Amino acid sequence: MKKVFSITLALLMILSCFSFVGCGNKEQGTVLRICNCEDYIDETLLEDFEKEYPYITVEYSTYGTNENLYNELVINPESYDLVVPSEYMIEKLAAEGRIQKLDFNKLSSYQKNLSPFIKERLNGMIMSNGNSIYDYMVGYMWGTMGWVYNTDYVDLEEVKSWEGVFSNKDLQKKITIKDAVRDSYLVGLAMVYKDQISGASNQEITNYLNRTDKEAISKVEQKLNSLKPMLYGFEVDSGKNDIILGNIYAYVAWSGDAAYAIDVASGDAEDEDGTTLEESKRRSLSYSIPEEGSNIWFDGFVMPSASTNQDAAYKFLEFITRPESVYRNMDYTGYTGMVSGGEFELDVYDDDDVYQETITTNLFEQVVLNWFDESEDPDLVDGIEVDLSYFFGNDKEYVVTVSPESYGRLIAQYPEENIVERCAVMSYFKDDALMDINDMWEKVKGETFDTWLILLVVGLVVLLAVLIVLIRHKDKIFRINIPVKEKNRLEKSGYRIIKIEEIK
Amino acid sequence: MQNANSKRVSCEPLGIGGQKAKFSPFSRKQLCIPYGVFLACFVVIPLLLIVFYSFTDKNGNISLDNFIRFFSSATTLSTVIISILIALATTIICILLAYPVAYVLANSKLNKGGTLLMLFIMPMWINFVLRAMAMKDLLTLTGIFGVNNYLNVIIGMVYDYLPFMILPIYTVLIKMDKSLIEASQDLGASPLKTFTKVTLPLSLSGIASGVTMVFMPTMTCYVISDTFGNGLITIIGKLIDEQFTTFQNWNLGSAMAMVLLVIMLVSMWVTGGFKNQDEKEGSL
Repeated sequence: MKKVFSITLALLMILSCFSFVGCGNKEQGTVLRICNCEDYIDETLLEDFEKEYPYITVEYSTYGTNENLYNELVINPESYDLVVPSEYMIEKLAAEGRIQKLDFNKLSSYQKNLSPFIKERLNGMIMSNGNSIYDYMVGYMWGTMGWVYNTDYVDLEEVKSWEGVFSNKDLQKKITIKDAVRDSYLVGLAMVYKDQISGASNQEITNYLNRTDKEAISKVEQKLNSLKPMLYGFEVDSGKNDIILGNIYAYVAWSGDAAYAIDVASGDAEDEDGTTLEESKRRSLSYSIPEEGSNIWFDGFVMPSASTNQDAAYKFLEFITRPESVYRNMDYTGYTGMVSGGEFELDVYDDDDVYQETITTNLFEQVVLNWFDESEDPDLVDGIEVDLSYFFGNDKEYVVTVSPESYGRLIAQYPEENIVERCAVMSYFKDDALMDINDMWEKVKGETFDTWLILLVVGLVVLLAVLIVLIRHKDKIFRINIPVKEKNRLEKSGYRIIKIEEIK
Repeated sequence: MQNANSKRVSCEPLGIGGQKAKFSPFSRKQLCIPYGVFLACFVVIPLLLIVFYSFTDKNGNISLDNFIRFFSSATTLSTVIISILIALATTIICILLAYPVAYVLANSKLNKGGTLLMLFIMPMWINFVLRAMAMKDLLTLTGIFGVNNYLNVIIGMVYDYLPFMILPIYTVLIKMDKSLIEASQDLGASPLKTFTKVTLPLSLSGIASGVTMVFMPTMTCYVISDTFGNGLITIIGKLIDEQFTTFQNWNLGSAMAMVLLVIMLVSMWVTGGFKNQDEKEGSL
């Protein structure tokens, strides 16, 4: 039985090898290999794309972090046709010549529908090779970073700055920051240079939030270390669930996670397992982007230099930037798309999922007015008018009226113009600064014992090791040599040597 | 189970020199080739790569900078010490918990056919990240979570690695010749003396292989320390991971892995892990 089992296993292993080989050699049609961040697309869109272009098969995979994606592209440049990194990684990939410029003649509708704000920002980001980042990427999602906070425990005033929550002793061990060096370093910089960047121009804020000189690094290290006693922990993924469950009251979040946390906690949306929170467990959360300044990020599709299926890739880019696709992705992920214009058709269903009609609509109507507008509400007293024309265009008024309670939820997806003005892009860490930042982060994350303590422990361990060796091998070290021949003869004849004493 | 149609094969001791076995078209040496290839591809070459990376800088020049940086950084050394302490505590608690369990399982009439053992081993079949998350929820419910991060990490480590300690001890105990215990009792030794003089020494090899299977992984298993320590506890595995992902410094990461490897080799040599291989029957 065992034999049969092991043979089967061996066969399976061999077979699995062949099946991997098989994947690479699909004989019919084109295989388009896309690598995106986890949970960052409505995957039914991929099926629809394959239906529209039956000869293209999409091989979709996901990555954990930008750095992992970078490693994959370094090890095997030919592994993907399209990847979705963040702007700092795009900058790095472009500087190292790992991605290619795009041909925007093939993407005319994208160019037309792209938000004017995004277009301006991307065009303004000139990289070290002299090109603007716009030439390399097809914009996908964008967002900001800020505090998600529990309105029952945290005042709005406290999250209007980065440091506010840390001075409230009631919030001890109820705050988390990011376990990602870039994000936490930026928060540290914003705290250290808050006086210099408050009210400064975007260019100045960008300069300060990109400082990597030794002085800045050591100041950030001190700052972050001083925050540690207040922290519940460092997190990358668990923060949103912790704040929904009430384990923490404030956490540094990316805007999409913020939208997700606010919706789930208020019972407006299902969580990742598809359940809606019970009435008694609901919490009122909100989002705030501190006034000193914060981070703004842009994720986009880029094409590795070694991409082999460019035609299929452009078809996909055209497909994924259609307003309808953007709407479906936003609906699914909670992040904000970079496309703002264009019209699309949408099937309307009533509450019982019965088809009503097909309407022609646009993104502003669907993702802003439908979601947030409360101007019709007669009970609304101090509604806030938010003007989003900077993002959607100047062709007409794009204004939405929200209640103070849902203002935070709106700016998680669509921050006002004065907010994005103080949000800076953070470049990638250059090699010369990387080592110092590495040291800084190690010291922030880990413990540093005094030198004498380390020496003491190392000394003790070495002493222990020597002692053990001495005890184990004492007979070898202290014994009297007897000739090997004699020993073998004794052992062969059935004697075991127990003890040998020298006879004088 | 013996197939009814197959001939009965009588085995006899073969020469070590790789004589052709009567029932196999391959010689012993040939049978080793697949594993040899596997070993070369997935163990030896990666190891050589690690050695190469650890002794070079980013431009591929030979340098000792990585090691100098490792040993001159108080934070890195502190992290190593913390990792060793956590691993030590985990290992000791695992032995204390696993030995009685393995002892009972090996001697229990209930465990005929290994049912009880199966119950202890079964959690291993569930993905350990999932188990860690479940344990975290459980600790949160009972209110232990977040009180002391080190305690939480050790609880998580013990929870995940306990089966790796139970199994080898159980295997040794079940194979132990029971007549030795009977002889000891016949000669008038008390149960305690029988245990300390007969059972325990004979099961030491099981404990030893349990230790190697628990101690080393706990030093590097940063999924647990991240989940249970809220990211506030850094162990050496996390440092290595960050070198390879966040900081793109493969050289320093490799050097850290090398140092870890050497620590392990030395500690195995010191505790005699290499010795008496033939006596370690039954251990995994």
